[in-house]
Amino acid sequence: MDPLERELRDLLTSDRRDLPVSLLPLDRVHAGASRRRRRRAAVASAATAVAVLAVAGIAAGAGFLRDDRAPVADSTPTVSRSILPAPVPTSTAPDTTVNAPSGLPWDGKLPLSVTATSTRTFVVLGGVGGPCPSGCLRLAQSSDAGRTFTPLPVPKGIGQTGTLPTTDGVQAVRFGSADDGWLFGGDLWSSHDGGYSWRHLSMPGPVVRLEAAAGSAWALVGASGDRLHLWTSSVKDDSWARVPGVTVTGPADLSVQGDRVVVLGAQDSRLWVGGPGGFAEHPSPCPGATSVRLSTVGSIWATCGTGMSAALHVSADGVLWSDVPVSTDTGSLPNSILVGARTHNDAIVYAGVAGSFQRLAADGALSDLAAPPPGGSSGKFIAFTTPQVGYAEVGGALYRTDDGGDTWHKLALG
Amino acid sequence: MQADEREAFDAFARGRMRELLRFAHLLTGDPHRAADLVQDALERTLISWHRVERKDDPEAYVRRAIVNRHVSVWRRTRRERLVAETPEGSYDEPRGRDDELWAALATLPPRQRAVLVLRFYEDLTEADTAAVLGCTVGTVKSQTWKALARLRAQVTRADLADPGGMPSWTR
Repeated sequence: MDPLERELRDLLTSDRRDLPVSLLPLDRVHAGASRRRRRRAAVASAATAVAVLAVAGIAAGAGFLRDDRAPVADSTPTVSRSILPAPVPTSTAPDTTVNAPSGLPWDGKLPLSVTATSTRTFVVLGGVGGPCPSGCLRLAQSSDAGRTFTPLPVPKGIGQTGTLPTTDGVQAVRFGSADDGWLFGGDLWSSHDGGYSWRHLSMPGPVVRLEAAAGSAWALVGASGDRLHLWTSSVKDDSWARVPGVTVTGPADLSVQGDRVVVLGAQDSRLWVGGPGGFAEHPSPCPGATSVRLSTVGSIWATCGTGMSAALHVSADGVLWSDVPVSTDTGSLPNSILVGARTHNDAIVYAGVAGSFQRLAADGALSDLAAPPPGGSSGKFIAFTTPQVGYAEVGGALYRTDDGGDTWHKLALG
Repeated sequence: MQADEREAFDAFARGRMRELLRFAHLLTGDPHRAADLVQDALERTLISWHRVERKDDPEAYVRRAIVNRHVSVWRRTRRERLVAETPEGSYDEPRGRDDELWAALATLPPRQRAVLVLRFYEDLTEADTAAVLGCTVGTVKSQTWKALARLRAQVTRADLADPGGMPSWTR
């Protein structure tokens, strides 16, 4: 046999090319198949509707894609969703007046936010933090797990129209699919071509949180006082409408996993759990907190800050919560702790300037990581996109893990 | 989906996951793209499970889906995204004696790489390979020849040099 062919056979059959089965949890397959079924049903429904309209010769306004699933069974009253007028985009065509990407994508900016559309593809938003003139933000996309980055354009006008005092109009980026994404903060911008052009949307207040999954985007939008309203849209268009009745108070956070949406306000005694079929109220895991943060992959981890320390809770569905009893040297977790949910059983946590990255089990046990990011600096976020792949910002640098948080490597942003 | 159908699919997927991931890894050269490919193929299989299961060979169905998706995604990505070719490999790729050949394999176009994996890993005949890829036997032959020639041109080890004569993979 040809030596090359023999070598090729040896190479291809070598055990070294085996991959861990944990790389692909089966529940991800089921969730993905469910999304595909819904998309197919929606397309079929749309085709049917078009046919009916053509026959009857009537016009109708655009509506939402509704989930045919039964509403969440609960004894508490639910709020059924109705269609309210969508905000009118400030321009009807995609905004093409963008700052053209040039030179290095990063140009010394600090990573502010990361959003992933697959285990390899993700977008990073960077900036200088705080108010800054137009052009101080950078967007970059990696399609190879962070080895290389391609700059994406940032819309002109960002940094000039912001309304939040601590931001420059945009403070985070999210993508709900490879094509559909949003820049949000004091302003809301949308893209439906993978971030190559952006359109400004007029919302009634600042967008403090935005998450997307299963074809829907959900946003917490500031209203009067410290109240926030939940808004939603299909990821494919800009049909933003308020979800009636779903309002939270004070610092708040939003968790979206498939069809399940959890909205938690720090100063409320109850939280909202629901989705396209409607929302129901349930007891909050941290009533009266001064801050709340949710982190979601498979399960939801809630961080409830009291001003002096933080308490952690974990839930599979947002309804039933378990305390995470943590035993530290000081007896409590710092208020500023960062939590990156990985599974129902563990999360990666960072205890702030004086601490280090560690693995926290749901039973409260803390353990060291093999190669964590360096500690001793302030961090912005830890977030997993799958149980294996996650990102963390600390000390102005972005780190990625591909093995569930055991080892982290710094990404060269440019 | 019926509960028994779901159980059957889960049992199949759990039982064959390692092999499917490995197969996709050989095709893509990257563990994460492999996971994405297998997920995509399993999602499609799950949706059509009632139909696929009756044909008694769901694994062949999944592998076909993986191969075809890999080739078509690569084509579409090339057409729509004006970005540099993404490098193969990952951060935790194991190192070994055959790294040079593995790296050379990564430079092949997906269709040529798929032909080699199907022929030398799956041990499929030229006719079966052609059936999986939806092409002619002649295309399989020419793609195999081109792929091996390209590998041969890249490796530096003397023992892998051109042996001359008829290739042994012809059957």
